[in-house]
Amino acid sequence: MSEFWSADTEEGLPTPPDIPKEIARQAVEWLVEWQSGDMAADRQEAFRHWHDADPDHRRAWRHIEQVNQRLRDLGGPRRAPLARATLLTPPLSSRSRTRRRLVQSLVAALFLGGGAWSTRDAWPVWRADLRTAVGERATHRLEDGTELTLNTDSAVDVLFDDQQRRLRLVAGEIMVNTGQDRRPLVVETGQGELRPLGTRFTVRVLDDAVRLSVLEGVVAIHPRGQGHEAARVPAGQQRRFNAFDVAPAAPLDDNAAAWTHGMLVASNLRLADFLTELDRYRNGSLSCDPAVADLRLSGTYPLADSDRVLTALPGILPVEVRFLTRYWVRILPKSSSG
Amino acid sequence: MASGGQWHQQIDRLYGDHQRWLVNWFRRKLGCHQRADDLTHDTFMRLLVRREAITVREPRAFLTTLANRVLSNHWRREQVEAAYLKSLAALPEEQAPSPEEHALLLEALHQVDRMLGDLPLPVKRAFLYAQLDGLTHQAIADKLNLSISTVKRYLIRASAQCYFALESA
Repeated sequence: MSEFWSADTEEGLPTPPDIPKEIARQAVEWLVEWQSGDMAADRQEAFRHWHDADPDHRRAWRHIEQVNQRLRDLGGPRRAPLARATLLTPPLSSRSRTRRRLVQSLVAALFLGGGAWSTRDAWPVWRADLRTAVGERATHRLEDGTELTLNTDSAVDVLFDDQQRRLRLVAGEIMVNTGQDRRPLVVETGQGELRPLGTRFTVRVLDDAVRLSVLEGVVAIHPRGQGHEAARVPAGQQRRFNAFDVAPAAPLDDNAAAWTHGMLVASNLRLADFLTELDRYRNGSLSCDPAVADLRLSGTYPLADSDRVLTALPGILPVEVRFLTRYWVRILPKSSSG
Repeated sequence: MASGGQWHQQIDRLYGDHQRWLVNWFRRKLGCHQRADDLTHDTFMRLLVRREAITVREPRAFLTTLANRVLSNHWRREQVEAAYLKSLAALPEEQAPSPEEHALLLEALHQVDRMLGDLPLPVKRAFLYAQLDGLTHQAIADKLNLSISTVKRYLIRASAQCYFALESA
């Protein structure tokens, strides 16, 4: 007996009738002819003959009509564009496609300064060893005693062998609190590698760069395009880098580690930037009217309940919060009447 | 060959011995306990609805294979949902479906997405123009810059797969 598994249980759509392949094929050809838009009268007559000639023909055709009924639910001028955009999302990659995309992003990385690596190729994220969903945070203790915390919507591969301890940050943001081990620890990102020297730090993947914030100890940055150490970042500093450059050092911002305690810290932050930050912890779309984008706010906000943070906004700023659905929120100027 | 009763006993044993391990496996992949429970449940459901029995010699390897399939199905659903929300956000508010409509639409989208499977994108595109917009072959050919005979070939290929799960030449 084999352990081979074939049939996936399908739900929802009518199951194909048990009819000979040849008849199914004929039915499909008739359907496509009907859809051509210029089916002559004698062909329509021929179809009717075919349809009535055999009970299997009729069953095949009825099945097509049933499925079409479902498809019609998605049609029409209002829904079709939405359905099209959704259904044309490329499917989860097979191995060959992953490889092809990998080659593409490597090529793109060479010419675009590494930006392409971070345009979240979905597959590596999904197959990562450790992952958090949007709005979640998780801490793992690794075999060497390193404490690894993943922020919202993040993915990490843990690749430990005899020679080294390698963490590949595929997406999102992590805090690393290094454990004692004879093997060197390396954090790999699309833009380059980080080599900590006994330390606590956070790393965040941005659209076209990576941001390193060092809380304790020292971390060395090795940009991918340089292949050697380009900077050492001491505690209390943060720096952005991409495959080729390391930006000047800046003091740690209040928010660098606040997320590990489930907080978002804003000090005189633009509303638009605040929402961009909050959006990382939510599904769906969160946006604001340009008229309120430059309002500023300060404070410490709990990430666990971002809905409540949003509902509290009108108490702090002259804005109105419109929840169209739980997933679709827009911040508007306070209306003069209300 | 195991009989029906033995098969169920075997599933019970698999569940008893490996359920916790599988929940952990999912949790590592998902970073979420709640959904790890759900997907573990889905995995065992797939075994239960199976009609013929199979002999499982390497239970964890077997469950991993199955769980990987459940997982990729789950990711695909999430991906479809994310794509849906993204296209939704791009629509003007007054064109957006009502909240009741959302759930129905999304379920229909999941079903059709499974039906379309891994057909190449140009084939899907032609099929959706024909089905959702009722465009003629000529109109699709113009829109996608293809010959009419290619459009026809694409439509037959998509329809053979979608309606009858036939692989077409």
